[in-house]
Amino acid sequence: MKPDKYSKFRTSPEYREMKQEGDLFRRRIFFLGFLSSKLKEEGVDAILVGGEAIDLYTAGTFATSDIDLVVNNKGITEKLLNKFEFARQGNEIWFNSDLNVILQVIDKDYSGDLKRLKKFRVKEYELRVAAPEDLIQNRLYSAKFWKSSAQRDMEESVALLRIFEGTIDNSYLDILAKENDIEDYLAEARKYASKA
Amino acid sequence: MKAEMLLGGKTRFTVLGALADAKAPLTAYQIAIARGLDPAATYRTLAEFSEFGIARSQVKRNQRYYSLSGGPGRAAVNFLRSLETKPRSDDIEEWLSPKMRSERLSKIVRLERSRFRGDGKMQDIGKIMSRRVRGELSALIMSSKIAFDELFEEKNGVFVLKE
Repeated sequence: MKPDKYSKFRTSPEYREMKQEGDLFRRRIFFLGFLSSKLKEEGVDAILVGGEAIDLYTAGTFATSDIDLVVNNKGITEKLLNKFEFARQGNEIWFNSDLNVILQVIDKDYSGDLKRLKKFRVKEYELRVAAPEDLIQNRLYSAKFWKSSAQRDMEESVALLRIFEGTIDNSYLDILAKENDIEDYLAEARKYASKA
Repeated sequence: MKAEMLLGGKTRFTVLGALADAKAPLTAYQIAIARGLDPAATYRTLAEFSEFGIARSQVKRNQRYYSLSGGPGRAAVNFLRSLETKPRSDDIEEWLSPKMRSERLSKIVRLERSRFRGDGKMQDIGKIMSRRVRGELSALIMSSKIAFDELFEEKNGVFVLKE
């Protein structure tokens, strides 16, 4: 990475545009698209997962406001976040108080199916997001085996099932459920989705 | 109505309680993990609290630490104490434990079968799903779908944010 490539982030047109965006949801996805594109220029793959991915699919209705980004090069990502004036808060959490954007950088292989990632275009930037099926599996697994926020996990699963009922790959979801021993929870979520 | 709604939600209620109970300044992340809160929401709540003088902050070794302020902060806590009805666990060690860390991570990426995995016993899903007012979840889902369609349009398999 060239040392001063992003050193004037605060005076850049992108920054000004982000600051002017009064809607926090739109500002966050604008920044995520921007960051993903800049990471791509540096040869880093980034995938939006977890709560913010669900937030995106539900347009902020089930907001958790926690942005989880899986990257395949944490070092470059962190250097870039430094350039974009993010401060480290804890091991993986990065916060830009001026933009009011918080990111969790996860240096781990993406566990879902890369071929099923959804693409979002935000202005001229592209953002790759975990597939609804993989997010549903994630939430149901959490509901069944971790249980600490079972209501939210179940509700988000039901919401994704309902919102994507026409396009969801149920065969793939069945395979995931079997692999992860969550067939019972998937059946329940489907039952509620059909009534919702 | 739940008491925390008087403060605008669970996060504010819990963060305020954490600040009140803290013997030393804490980072937002410490509060989030100790109280099982969403880290992002905790940061935002603390930023709000600082803005309103409920919390004060100081930066040490590139980390921002928060504590309760004497005036508005103490007044807010007195209000909170008058509403609280049940004791809370303050065991930060528990929240920092490998089990809890694994749990948080499990919500982000799929973990391999872990030795911390719970028993998987079926919970009463009906009970879990009945915590909302009848029709509320359906309305939220419909609202999500409408809002998503208003925000994005699909072009050749790509969701494009409308200007």
